[in-house]
Amino acid sequence: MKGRRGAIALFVGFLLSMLIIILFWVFIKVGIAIGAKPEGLTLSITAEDLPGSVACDYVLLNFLRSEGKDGLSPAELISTSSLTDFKSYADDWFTLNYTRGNPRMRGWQIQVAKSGAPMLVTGKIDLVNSKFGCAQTVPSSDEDYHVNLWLEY
Amino acid sequence: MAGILKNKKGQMVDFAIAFIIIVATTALLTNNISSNQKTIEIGARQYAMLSAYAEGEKALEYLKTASEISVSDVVGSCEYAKTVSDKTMVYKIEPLMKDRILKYTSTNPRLNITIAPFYTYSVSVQQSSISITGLAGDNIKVTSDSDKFTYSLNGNFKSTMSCDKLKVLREGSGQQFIG
Repeated sequence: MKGRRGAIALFVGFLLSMLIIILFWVFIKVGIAIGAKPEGLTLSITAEDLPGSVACDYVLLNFLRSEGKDGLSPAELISTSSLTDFKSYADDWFTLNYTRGNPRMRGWQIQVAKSGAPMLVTGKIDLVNSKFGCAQTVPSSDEDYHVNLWLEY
Repeated sequence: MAGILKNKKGQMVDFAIAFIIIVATTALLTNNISSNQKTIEIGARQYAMLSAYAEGEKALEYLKTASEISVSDVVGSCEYAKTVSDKTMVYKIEPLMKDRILKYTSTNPRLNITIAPFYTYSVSVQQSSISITGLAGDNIKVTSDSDKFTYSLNGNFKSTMSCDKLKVLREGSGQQFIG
């Protein structure tokens, strides 16, 4: 009999605990619903200013993959240190594909560097800003070249 | 009766503990919502993820060009390539590629790139062209520590060069023939 009463007391305790938990769950839901009301809520959104440009990345990759002189892509022209051919091809490609014949519309500039020393700069841009810039590494037989491109758009 | 009272005391203690836990949880859950000023920063993570894709493309482009330069450095011409076994060519190309891969770094300061240098290469010489295939032992991983994500992409590549192109690459490189 004592054991039976004890079991009932435990069961009632369990039911009461569950009831309290359910009540608090309802309380939390109501609290969230009230707190989430837009009244008096000041929402400020910050769009971060970031270095680099995805658009520039795509223009640079498209350019480096295009077919240049003697079936070599601009990347391969750099790899083979044919920088004069690279420069004339880059001038033509950007005039045709980027500025679309009007170089005053949108500026561009390419710099090819090796071991941190610039080896070639071509194109014109008013402000060389890293925000509108991108880079690609081009392998060669000895040290890698670094191609930097800046775009105005 | 004493037993029941004792049980009730125990239950009271249980309820008190449960009550404290629930109140603490409620406080934590509603803390952010109850604030009436919010600042949401947008764009950084999305931008970094887009850049990660571009960074992966750049790495693949680098690998492709590096493999062409390596073939050019090792064999120089299709005529010579036809006299050398594929295994010998691969044996000489492997260290050159490994060196280039290990030196490669991300062009975006917000992202890190890891290219595993464990590639299986195969070179095949056709009548008027030469192909090199690189099968990656592991994916290329572009990671961002600040934005907590990893972009993983397949690092396999294949490049086919005409014999004329190989000759131009060879002549332009000005390197000593190491075949």
